[in-house]
Amino acid sequence: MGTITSQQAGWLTFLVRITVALLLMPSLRHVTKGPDAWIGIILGSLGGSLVVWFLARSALRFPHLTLIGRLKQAFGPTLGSALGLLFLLRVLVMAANTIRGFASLLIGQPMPETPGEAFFFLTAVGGWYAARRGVEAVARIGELLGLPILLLLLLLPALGFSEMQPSALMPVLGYGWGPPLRAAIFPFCIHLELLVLTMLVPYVRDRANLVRAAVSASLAGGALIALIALAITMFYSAPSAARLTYPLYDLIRSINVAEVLQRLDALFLLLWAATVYVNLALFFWIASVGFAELAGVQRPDPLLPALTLLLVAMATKAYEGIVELTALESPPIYPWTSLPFLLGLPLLLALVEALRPRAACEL
Amino acid sequence: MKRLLALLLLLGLGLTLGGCWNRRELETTAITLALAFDWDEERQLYLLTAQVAKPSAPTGEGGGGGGGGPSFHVYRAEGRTVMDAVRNITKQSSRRLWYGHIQVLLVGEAAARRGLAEPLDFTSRDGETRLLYWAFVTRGRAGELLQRPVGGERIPALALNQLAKNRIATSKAESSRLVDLYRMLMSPSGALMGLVELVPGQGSSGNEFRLEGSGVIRGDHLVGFLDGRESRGVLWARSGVRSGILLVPCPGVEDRSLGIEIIRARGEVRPVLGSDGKLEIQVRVESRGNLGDQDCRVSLDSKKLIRQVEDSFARGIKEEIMAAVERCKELETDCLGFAVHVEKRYPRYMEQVQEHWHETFMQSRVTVDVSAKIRQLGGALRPVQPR
Repeated sequence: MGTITSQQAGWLTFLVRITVALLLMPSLRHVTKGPDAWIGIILGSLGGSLVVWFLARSALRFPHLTLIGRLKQAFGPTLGSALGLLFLLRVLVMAANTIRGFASLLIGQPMPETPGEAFFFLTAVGGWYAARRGVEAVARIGELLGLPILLLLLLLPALGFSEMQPSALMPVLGYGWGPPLRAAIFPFCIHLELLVLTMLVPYVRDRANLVRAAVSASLAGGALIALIALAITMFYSAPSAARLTYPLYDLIRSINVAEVLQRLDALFLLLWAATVYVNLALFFWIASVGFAELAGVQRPDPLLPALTLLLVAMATKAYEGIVELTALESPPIYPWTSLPFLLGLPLLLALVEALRPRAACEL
Repeated sequence: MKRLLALLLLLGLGLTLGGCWNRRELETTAITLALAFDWDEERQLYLLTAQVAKPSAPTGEGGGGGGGGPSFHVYRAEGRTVMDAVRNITKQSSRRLWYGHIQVLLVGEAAARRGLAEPLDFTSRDGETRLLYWAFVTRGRAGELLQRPVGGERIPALALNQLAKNRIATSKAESSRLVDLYRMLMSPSGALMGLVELVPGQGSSGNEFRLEGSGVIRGDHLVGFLDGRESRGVLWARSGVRSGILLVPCPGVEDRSLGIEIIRARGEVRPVLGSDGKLEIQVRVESRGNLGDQDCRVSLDSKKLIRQVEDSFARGIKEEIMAAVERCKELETDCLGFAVHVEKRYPRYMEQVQEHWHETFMQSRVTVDVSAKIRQLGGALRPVQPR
């Protein structure tokens, strides 16, 4: 199945961190007053990075076990497998969410008449194809695409600078800490989803660098999203940005440098598709490895076609439209759908592991 | 073999699933360059005028081109909403209209007085439009401005686009792109839209556009207009003056003027909330100008004379700003955008007065302080002195 480096794991962390956040930029909507969404994103990312640190540290206590293995070891085969199954269903929900988000942008903006199922199939089949090559291939794609995606996501919004008004960022904290703290909920909770990456730990070669790579990647992802939020706020003003469904996409398609460089939305869609592709491939691989471990199957490949069909069905039936998608990423729903399980599970697991004799730590 | 099959399957999926539903062929697409929204009060309908480029239009000069008719085509349709009207155009046009290259959006007076939020809603929802095109208000019907070729330009939309770019030469009109308009509409202050009119042209050129003055928007309703001087008064305060000519009296010569070319201007608004709860708005403007021309023969070669001209320059700026303040108070609308500055400095206070901000603005005291400098006299130190 191959192995990966901690740097590659870092790039995968970065891509998983930014993909969903980039599409709808929920923090911009969650701020009720003032232009302080970017402060909320920084706060949420700092808090979330602490969670990433905790997840990586606790996973490294049992470096040869995946999360499924750790659950079985800590809770016994029956309860551990049941919790593992719940975790894998959550991975599938995340994958379906990613597919749905991807299709939603395309259907909602440039290709409104194209059936969503077309995108569900294409992305799911793409994810399947990459996942069957193993984690090494997925990590290489992530490493290859990570840097260009990061640089272009910094460059593209910056091209709209001539139309931006820095004064739109004032007053800073004019309405106190309440609005930015509300904006911090989504960026904090999105880090909890990085729990899925603990499945990678047994496949990382240089584990000594893993914590640093994961935390740096999550901080870099948070910084990137905060910078993009700053750019969007300066471009549209906070109240105007809060009403947009796809604020970053709207910003990029409005860029016009000297009447020459314009219609860059196609480039953004390409970048976005690349991040979705890496995410999906990773989720596919994690789900297949996890289900194989639960079922005691040696090779996860035969599970992939069934997972693909399941994902397409989930993406088709899971949400009716964009209103549901945005509601699911907003308070009060989002914290309740992520905190109890995605934070509760690793905390409970770490507690049980702490109470048991510590296994040999092989960093 | 397996690989080949997988590859063929992927290629097949790519061909059959990717975007067949939304393909656009050039020969079935009409590129829309301008849109005009009007409101028919009697029938309670939006009237939409779309100006589209003719794909095979002749390239000759003048509105009619090289004898082959105009280079554009105008479609008109009506609907209960703008989108309804947009789709009704397809009843007349064999080509489907593409809105990705709109240059200008015109809103007629009746539609603007009724409210901008509804007609503009389409522009931020539609997947083709971009928000960087110009938005202007017109007196009377906006659609009339797109009907015929204007001036020396073949396509009115392109003429309006160029006019908007040239407005900095006088700074006597607000020129907002749609994104600016959204920013203003969503702020607690009033908004301004550049005013475009059709005026009789010179000689054989027929009608011409004139971009001067601004429409004042309160909430999302047009409540009145500012003339060119008042518009520039607003722009001084909002750091929107890029260039222009300001006429000041020639020192020591009655009824003669100097033309000061505005080179640079920076406006700063500082609200001050007194202990008595009264709001004072302090506007400070710094400007630099060069002597553009003079309608008198005074040699401005002494510091004393330059100081006199600078004082007149400053006074002229102050008068323009105060004229704008007076007019905005008359229209009961904060068209200078003071609310944005109050919100930045006193966000909690703004929360309290937001509901009746325009009334608060009318009761507030506005003071203007201008520092104006003349730096250059151009290529000549003295005027022509015939012997």
